[in-house]
Amino acid sequence: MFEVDETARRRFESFARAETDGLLRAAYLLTGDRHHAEDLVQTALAEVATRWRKVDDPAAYARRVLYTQAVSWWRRRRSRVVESLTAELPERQVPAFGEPELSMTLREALGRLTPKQRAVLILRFYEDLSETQTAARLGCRLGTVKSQTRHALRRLRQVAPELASFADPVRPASDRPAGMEVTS
Amino acid sequence: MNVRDDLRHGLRALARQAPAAAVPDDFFDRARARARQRRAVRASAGFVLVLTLALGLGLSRPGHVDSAGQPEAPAAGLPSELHLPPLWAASAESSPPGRTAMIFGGDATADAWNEGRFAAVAADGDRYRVFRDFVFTAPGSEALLSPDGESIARHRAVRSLTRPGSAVELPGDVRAFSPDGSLVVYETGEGTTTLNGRDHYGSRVEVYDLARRSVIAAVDNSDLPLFAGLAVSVSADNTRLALHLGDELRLYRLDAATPAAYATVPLNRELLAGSGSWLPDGSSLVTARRDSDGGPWRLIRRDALTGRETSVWAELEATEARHLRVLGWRADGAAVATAKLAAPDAAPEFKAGAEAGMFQEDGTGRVRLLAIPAGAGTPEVLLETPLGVSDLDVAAQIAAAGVTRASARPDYGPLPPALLLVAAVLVAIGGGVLTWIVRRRIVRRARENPGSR
Repeated sequence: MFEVDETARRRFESFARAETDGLLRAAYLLTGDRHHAEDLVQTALAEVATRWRKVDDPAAYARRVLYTQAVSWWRRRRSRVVESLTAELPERQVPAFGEPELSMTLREALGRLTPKQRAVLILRFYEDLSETQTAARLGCRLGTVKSQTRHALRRLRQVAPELASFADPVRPASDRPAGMEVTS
Repeated sequence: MNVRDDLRHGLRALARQAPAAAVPDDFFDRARARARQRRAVRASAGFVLVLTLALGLGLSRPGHVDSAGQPEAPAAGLPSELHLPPLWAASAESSPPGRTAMIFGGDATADAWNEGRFAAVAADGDRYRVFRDFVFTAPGSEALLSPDGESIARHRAVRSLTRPGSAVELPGDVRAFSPDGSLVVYETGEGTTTLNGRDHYGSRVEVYDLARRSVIAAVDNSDLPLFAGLAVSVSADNTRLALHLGDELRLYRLDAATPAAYATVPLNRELLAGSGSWLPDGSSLVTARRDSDGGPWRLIRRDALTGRETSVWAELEATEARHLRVLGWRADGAAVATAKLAAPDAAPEFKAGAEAGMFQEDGTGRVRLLAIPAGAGTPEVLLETPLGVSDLDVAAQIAAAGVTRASARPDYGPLPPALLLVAAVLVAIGGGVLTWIVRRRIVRRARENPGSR
């Protein structure tokens, strides 16, 4: 057994408390499934815990593991969750805009993209990373990110044309949910 | 606002639906413990794999070192005893034994799943290899060892035992090597001959020069079949050929492409004594006679020019031998021969004579290698096979040299690839089961102690 000092454990717990929510949201977008999202986050956190002393930027490392695992062939085929992050699932807020059908449509549309296309879209438009940062995060070339983004957006328009017709007459345009003007 | 901004909003809205989760208090320790377990499992699997490979490679090393740590003695000779190769012994095709002293087989080397299995032992060490044939080719009759022990003839080919892949394909089954090993005599089954109104397989005997890869003589015996067994012998100077056809002994000079017999002698309860029948000086040859079942064997000396009997060369008074086959001659004049002995529970012997041969022998339990002196002296037993080894062939030149070496710890060669594959699969399955058990324990512990998270 390795002796792990209490300081490292406390620092990890602090890191996990701060990052789990964000990681889980990204994982949920990546997988579209609550259990798979938890599994993905658990894997990423476990990797960070295992290499805690060697990792300079745990948050960046956790996200890198999260995204690379999400597009990994082996990962996609491993459906079993070894252990849950928690036994108690706190209540979440209802969909922010009161538009559950839109969220469902977007989630289904994301599910019809390839894992890499999904990861690129989420990094670019959810994490707000540049193309260069996205390429670095996924460990691929810049050209790949550009082409994957282009293909992903085209695919979204194809698989969910109804997103384009969605409009919220009440909210201003800047608050509209996803993919409303796909003909831009 | 464009699609990208809308997508950004949509993704964030969707992300807010993600479930909440908390990290268990002991997550850090458990994650690290699981990583250590994974590393241990991988290291164990790697260790087993390396061990298996090392074992396989170690066993495949040429010049295997014996248990005393000393290299094997290079002197060639007959082993003082034979070991029965285990099921996992390497095949002679994949791991050639080198110059070979003996090939042997029978019930002791075969089983229900390996009916055609027989073995070879090297001349310069106790390296045992096996031949795994679908159908048994009996050593000494259907599988023949060359006089120098360098090659084996079977399945219509002469294959090297020292150079893998080296082979001479032939149109017929080899019935004998010449004493120097340069010629082989094979029998083809071309055509159909008729004997006493009944069709039987055709027999055409050809003498083939292995070095020149050409036939030097052919005998078309359309009237009589080659007697069952090894009724062929070439003289030491490669100029004469003796064939046992039907109930006749025919002698040929190998000076023509299709020689005619220059002497024909009827045989009664008598057989050409084997591939080593010609005496080294070429003046005579011997036949093996047994006047009654269970009676003594006599080696009859016959004139090389006429084939007529000149004397009784040797007589084996008290012998259990059911068949006698002369392989060659030692420098002291003794004939080196194999004698097939009845098994303890053998049925009564078939009658000897022209109607019976080694293929009709039944109940052979073991084979004895003898040095038979001229006259009525007692044969020297050079080797006796274990019970169940009913067929034996010996490299005639090695046997004639009279060198016997003490048997040492046998080397059965590298493990067969199929066995290594099975071992690897078992290791993989075992590793998988172990991993599954470990993971299941972890999951069960986690479920049983939810409060510890």
